[in-house]
Amino acid sequence: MSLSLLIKDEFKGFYKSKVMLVLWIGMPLISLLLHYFQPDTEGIPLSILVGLMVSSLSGTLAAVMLSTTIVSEKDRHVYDLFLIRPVKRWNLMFAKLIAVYLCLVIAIFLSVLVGLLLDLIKLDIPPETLLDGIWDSLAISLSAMAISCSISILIGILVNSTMLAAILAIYVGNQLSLLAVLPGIFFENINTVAYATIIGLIFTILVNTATALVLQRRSL
Amino acid sequence: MSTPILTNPSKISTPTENLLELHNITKQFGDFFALNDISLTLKKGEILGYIGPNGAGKTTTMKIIVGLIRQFEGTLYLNNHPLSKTQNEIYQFLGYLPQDVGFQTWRTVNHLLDTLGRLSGYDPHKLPERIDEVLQIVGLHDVKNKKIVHLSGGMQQKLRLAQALLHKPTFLVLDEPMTGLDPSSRFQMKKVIRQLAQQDITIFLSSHILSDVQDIADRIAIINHGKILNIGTPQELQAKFHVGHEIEVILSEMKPDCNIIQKLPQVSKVKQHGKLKFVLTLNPDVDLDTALQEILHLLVSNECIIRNFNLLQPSLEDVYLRYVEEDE
Repeated sequence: MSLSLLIKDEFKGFYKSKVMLVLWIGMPLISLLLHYFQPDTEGIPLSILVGLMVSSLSGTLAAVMLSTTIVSEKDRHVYDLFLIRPVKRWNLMFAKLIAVYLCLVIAIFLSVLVGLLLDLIKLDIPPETLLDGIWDSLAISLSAMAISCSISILIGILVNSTMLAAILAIYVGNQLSLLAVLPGIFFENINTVAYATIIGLIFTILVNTATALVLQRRSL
Repeated sequence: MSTPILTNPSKISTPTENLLELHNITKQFGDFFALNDISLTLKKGEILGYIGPNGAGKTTTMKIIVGLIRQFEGTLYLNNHPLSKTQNEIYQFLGYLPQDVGFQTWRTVNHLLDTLGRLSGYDPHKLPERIDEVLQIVGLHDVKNKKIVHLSGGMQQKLRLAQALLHKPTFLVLDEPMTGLDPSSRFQMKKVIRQLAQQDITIFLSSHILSDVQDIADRIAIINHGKILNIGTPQELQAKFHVGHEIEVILSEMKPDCNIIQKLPQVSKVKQHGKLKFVLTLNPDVDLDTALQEILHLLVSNECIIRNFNLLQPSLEDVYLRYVEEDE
């Protein structure tokens, strides 16, 4: 009960933030702008290009926001009000992860949808072929974001400076999330959807298990 | 989840009227002893004032009681049960006003209370009515739909109290509740605390300012450097520290013969404040009434014109300061 309530609650908080406003409105806008100002995408459909670009940009933004928010809230003892109620520390952090991830998923779907509509108007590629490519792009994007967001939560818990948290989220979280992206790009005979999904799942579970273990010993 | 180290759980097995019992609680942060072997009890319906300078260990004690710090040495009983066994029930009857707790900036007053009320397990259908009730109690009903970030420091402190009262707890732990309040709000806060105590709510209240607690607490515990220096009613604390009588003498003018005041046989110590004011500490073995007569007679016979002659009672503030200074 408390977890679902916390997820809803955190989701409300994140979607009201300026970062999410940028992601939900700014990212689909990038699709449109790319279409008008950079129409030559060297044969890559706009929907796929936008999916990958949004995952990288919004993943970084969200990861930085997550880690710095946790550091700042820890510093202001925001969690004390929750932890004196039947709420587990892990639930608080997991709710944040799910809420941010949901916000990112919405941002990606909105951007890809705009890209897809433009592709359907502009390109002669049959919709089935276009959708195949989009699944690859979505699998990579969603996996990369799950990894970087999970690492950001761990960073936020372990670090006490917002500056350091932001730097680590960019240089550790975001770089590690490339594990889900690069092989699919460099090796042609890899099933990108399966690879990205499995790597994303394994890393997300590992990092979150580590977070849960840390939270058993560490107060927020 | 880690649990407190219970050194001797069988120590208190018979039910008592104590709501809270701390036995030999020690908490170390590295080499620093935040709490060093403290013990205290709190009876049901009682208001215990917990005073001490900043960094004395008040907040650490409170965080242990409410379960925010779980690694410590010693035993803690709530309602005659070890804390580890009653953690889930504790949430139902315990309300906590933390010191300097922040709020998420995007929340409104109503949204915060709604979330915390639901998390406390309060019936969601009755929650809106209860939110109105607590906002009325703390005087925040006008700002129900305002963002917390737009409230003043004093209003945020009242909101901290509101969230502590939300689920109708019977035990309140208030960490520095008067912090950031203007004189009128302090008065209001004390009034609310008194009203809560009349409803049989047990209150554990900390402050570094004695006057905040002395007129509302049934008993007062003084803590410094992680150790409890004394516990008792305000009268008991005053009596314990009352080792010698003091007399304040103010003369109209300082004539040469009045220097006798420095050499009175009944007096062990003389403190002079300015030219005309003296505080005389009597020898502990003299009879108070006889000594007062003799001193008065000596001064008058030396033609000293006395403007004021007054037996001093140490105030609770003096007692507190002396305890703390003695401990430094």
